[in-house]
Amino acid sequence: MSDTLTTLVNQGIGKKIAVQLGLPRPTILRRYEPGQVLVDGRVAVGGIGQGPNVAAVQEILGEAGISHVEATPDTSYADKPAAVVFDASGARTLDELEQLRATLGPALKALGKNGRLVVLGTTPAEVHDAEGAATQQALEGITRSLGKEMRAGGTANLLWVAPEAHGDRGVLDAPLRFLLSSRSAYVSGQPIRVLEAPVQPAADPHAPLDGQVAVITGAARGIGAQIARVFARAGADVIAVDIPAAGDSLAAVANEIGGTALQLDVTAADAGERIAAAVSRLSGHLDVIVHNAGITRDKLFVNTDEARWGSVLDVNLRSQFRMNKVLLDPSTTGGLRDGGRIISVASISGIGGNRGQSNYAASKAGVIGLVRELSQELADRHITVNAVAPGFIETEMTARIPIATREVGRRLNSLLQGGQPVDVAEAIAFFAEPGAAGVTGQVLRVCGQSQLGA
Amino acid sequence: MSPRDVFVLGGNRIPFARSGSKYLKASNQDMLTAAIDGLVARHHLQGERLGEVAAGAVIKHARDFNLTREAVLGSHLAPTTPAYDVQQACGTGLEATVLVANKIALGQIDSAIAGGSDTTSDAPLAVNDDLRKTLLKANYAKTPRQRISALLKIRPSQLAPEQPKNGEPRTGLSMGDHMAITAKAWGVTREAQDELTVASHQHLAAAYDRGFFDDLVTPYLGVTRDQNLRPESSVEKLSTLKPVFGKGDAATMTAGNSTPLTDGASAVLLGSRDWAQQHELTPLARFVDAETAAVDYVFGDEGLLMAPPYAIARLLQRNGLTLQDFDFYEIHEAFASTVLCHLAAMEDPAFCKERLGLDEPLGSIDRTKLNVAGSSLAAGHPFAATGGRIVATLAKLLHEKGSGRGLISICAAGGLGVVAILEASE
Amino acid sequence: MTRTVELSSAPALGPLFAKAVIRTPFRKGRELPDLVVRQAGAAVDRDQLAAYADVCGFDLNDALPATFIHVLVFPLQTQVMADAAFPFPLVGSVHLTNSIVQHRPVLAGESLDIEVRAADLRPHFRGAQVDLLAEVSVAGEIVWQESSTYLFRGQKVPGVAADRGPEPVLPTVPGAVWRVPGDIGRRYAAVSGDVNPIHMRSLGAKALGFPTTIAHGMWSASRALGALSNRTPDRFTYAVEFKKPILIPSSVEFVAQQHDSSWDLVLTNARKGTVHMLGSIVPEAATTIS
Repeated sequence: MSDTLTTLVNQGIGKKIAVQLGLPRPTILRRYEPGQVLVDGRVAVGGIGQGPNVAAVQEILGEAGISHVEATPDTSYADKPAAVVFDASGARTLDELEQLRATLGPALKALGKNGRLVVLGTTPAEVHDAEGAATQQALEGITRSLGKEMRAGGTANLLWVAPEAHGDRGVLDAPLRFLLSSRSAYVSGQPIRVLEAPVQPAADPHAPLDGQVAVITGAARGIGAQIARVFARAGADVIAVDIPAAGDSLAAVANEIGGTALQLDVTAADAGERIAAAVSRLSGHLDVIVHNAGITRDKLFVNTDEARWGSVLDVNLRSQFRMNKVLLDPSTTGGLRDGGRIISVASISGIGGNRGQSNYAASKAGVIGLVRELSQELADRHITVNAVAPGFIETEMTARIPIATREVGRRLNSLLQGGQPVDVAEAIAFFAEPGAAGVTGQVLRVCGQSQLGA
Repeated sequence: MSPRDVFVLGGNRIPFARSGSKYLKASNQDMLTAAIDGLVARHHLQGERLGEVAAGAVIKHARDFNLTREAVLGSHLAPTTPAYDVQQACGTGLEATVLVANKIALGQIDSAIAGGSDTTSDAPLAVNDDLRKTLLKANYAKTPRQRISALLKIRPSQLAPEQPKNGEPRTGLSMGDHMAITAKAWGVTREAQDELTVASHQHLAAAYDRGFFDDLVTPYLGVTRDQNLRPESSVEKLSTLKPVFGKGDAATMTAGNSTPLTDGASAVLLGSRDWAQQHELTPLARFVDAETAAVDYVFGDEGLLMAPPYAIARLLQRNGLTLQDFDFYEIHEAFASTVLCHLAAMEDPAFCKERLGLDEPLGSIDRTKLNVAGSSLAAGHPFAATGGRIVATLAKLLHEKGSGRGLISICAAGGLGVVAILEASE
Repeated sequence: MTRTVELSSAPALGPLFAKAVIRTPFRKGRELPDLVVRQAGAAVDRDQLAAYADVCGFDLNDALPATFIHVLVFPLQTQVMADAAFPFPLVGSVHLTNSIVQHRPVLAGESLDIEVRAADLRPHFRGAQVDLLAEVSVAGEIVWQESSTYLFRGQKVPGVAADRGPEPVLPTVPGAVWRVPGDIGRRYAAVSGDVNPIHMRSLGAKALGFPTTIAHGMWSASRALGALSNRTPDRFTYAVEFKKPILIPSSVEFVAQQHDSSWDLVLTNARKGTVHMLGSIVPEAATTIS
């Protein structure tokens, strides 16, 4: 499961050889550890004109104990800044983008290892003149390209903020901190839309899920187990769900994180009721459900039989409808509370398709459709519905892929390496945070800006 | 302080594996720890200090002198949870449950786990008795010369290990031989035994299929279901097996209608009402009462495994119940013939009058209420683990039904029988 | 006039057997000697008691098994039979019956006075039989008595032999199965001192006309009493009759049936059903051996 190349080419002789051979030299990514400072250094903050979010950004950084320098075309960076935050949300003309070019150039040049670029914009659909919309849409092209130009584990992402949410520290706080932090190590080139929403800020930013009850399906191993660990770290009471046959690993995960093991096949007719019953033993209501359980039954489409087709759709998608129906019923004891979170695990296969995975891609694309529609239905109840789409993640499953295919999969992204299960888990935990109330109906790719399905 | 109500709050076991196969490398301690940890995971008991854990094993290594405590220390329970070993042959698991239930009832503790573990794959081999004595003598020797002279007395013939004996020490007969004698005395037929066996397999398979064991069993070492389970078992297939116990017309007992040697472990969580409430746990069933009986199978004329009817008679009398006042009967299937002999005896006026001192026979039971989720013939029987398996199964059956009462009966080596009553908790 | 031999300690049995063998050709006469062998103040060796309890299936405690006292008496019996005036050869004698009366439990710490004599020479349909009578007292109180009847095959004495008696009716209830190991003869010899070659090695047994090694009759009697040791009263008579010898190794079935407060005992071959030993335990000292 370890990425030997990444370790090897970063050590002594290996490093020399790699440089000589011209092998890609992936950086060891900075990842989150409890209590870790938001960024390792100062943050350069700039904007176009009177950036409407600059003040909020400065406050958020100050709260996190991070000092900032003003980023202008003329700033000379004495020390390497850890991140650059650029507020372009006020830009409505193409000319104004010159300001962005002139400011970001020197800042990005000075950026240290594992650097972060976060561009703030205004959601193009909310800008009602053509040049304004084009200007805001251009930000996506810029951040996606910069993502590919970032060096040494750096990432570039975009926050598209709805006009009503401009300057709203409440809704900006969690998304900005996520993108700046090491929790987004494997997220790059991605836009996240932020809406106006009521936000109950977390008492402890290092334990944002304190006291919340979270159900995680498929939690016995791989990404699911890691989600359970990250949720527990964030303070959640985790109910870890997996099929009875995986009960031993499930028990080990539950005991490791101090959670509750629930042996349950998510396709069971009464799966929702049994989850609600388990929740009601801990609390009156459920705060977060993570639909992570999934299977693959790969075959070329023409060779895919009814069983392979049906089982994948049933486990990966249909089961979510059944469980959601019960858990979203306000009369269900142990059901999802208003203001709760639904997070599904999609896949870049569901975005870009994959040979031999028509059934799997169908289910994962279906998840994306589900998320987009359900988020709107549940907006009134302030329940957010989101998905993450993992790219190449180093798991037991990918360890079984033949080495050549695996190496290609690993390197075909801007960070030149596979992600870790924890990267997916961090993104999911971000969606679950109280501060992410303004983020709904979105599919966040955790893929190191993979070229697949891009 | 009057006794408090005691509730079964949950149960867990690992799937039972056939001896010498999947759990070959697992010790009693490994398996008991796994069973406890599964229970901890299911009921969110990590780091919890329970009142106590009582468990045991029938076949035990000398190194396992503190088996249960060691299992607790290896588990995710608080290391400050006290524990002790119990051993009452196949009654171990149920007797452990009775012990902790009584302590909870008396208010001495509020919560407990009772359980058991047994492996015949990792059974201790003893050194030859003469060799053992010689080695002990050498060990006690005060001078090197004494030690050497003691060790020189070792003879090659002493180096052969003593095989563990699967027999009653006082009769030299295996349990199967004893049961064959009783089965013949009660006229239990081969067909009736095979039918009961098939029912056990079918009931267990159906219970697995409907997810009944989803919250009662945690897989272990790649085993997800009881390895002995044969859902396709039929009377026709069983009828082809050769008898292995008894001679002549008493030879009705086969490997099919007897439980095979099995490895496994189980654990049951019990607690007071308040404790359950504080820990957000749902009481499944109330532990009502229990009774243990013993018979003189050595020189008396009672069968080795015939103690349960005696215990049942006394238990019913004390609780003012009749044998028919139950919705579930969990009678441990040491052998199919054991269950059938118990049922026959309880129906027999002469037996009930002369042996049990009853004016009226205990009577017959509704066989559709017997071992409805399968029992030892299908699941297997790792001696000390069977009690926990049955207590958890019955508690869940009662919880599902939402009302009613169940009777547990377990026969054990040494002419012992442990029986208990559980009631659905309201 | 009675000749009395006073022993200060139990005689070593090996030399006695050897002496008896040497004297065999010189034996003559058809009358028992008027001889009493005595040992005053015999003490129990607790190590021997522990070893005996292990071999014969008794729990180890301070009360002596009734059959253990036979072990203390046996050297004196041998002394009588090895005496120059004893008419028959000791080696090859067959133990036919044994009756023990325990008047009260005897404790390991007590000082035992033992007295043995031979009596009642009479014909047997296979030779001649003699009773060896033993009495054990503690400070003048008779606590234990025994009569052991031995057969001397092919020896003729005047009189008419009694009938064989009717075939015993055997119980039908199932019994316990004991596996009798091939070394039980040597093990019992080690704790009892009865080193008769027929019990030790198959060669010795064959030399004396047996197909292979045989278990000591008194081992079977002891093992049977051991199985019932916690169910016997303080005062009882234990009588056994040895039938076919137990060829070892072997499996035997032991049945003990209770009638009121008495027990009937039968020891048979587990496979063939041939009878090795019949016995009874009757409470109270029903009889006193005189």
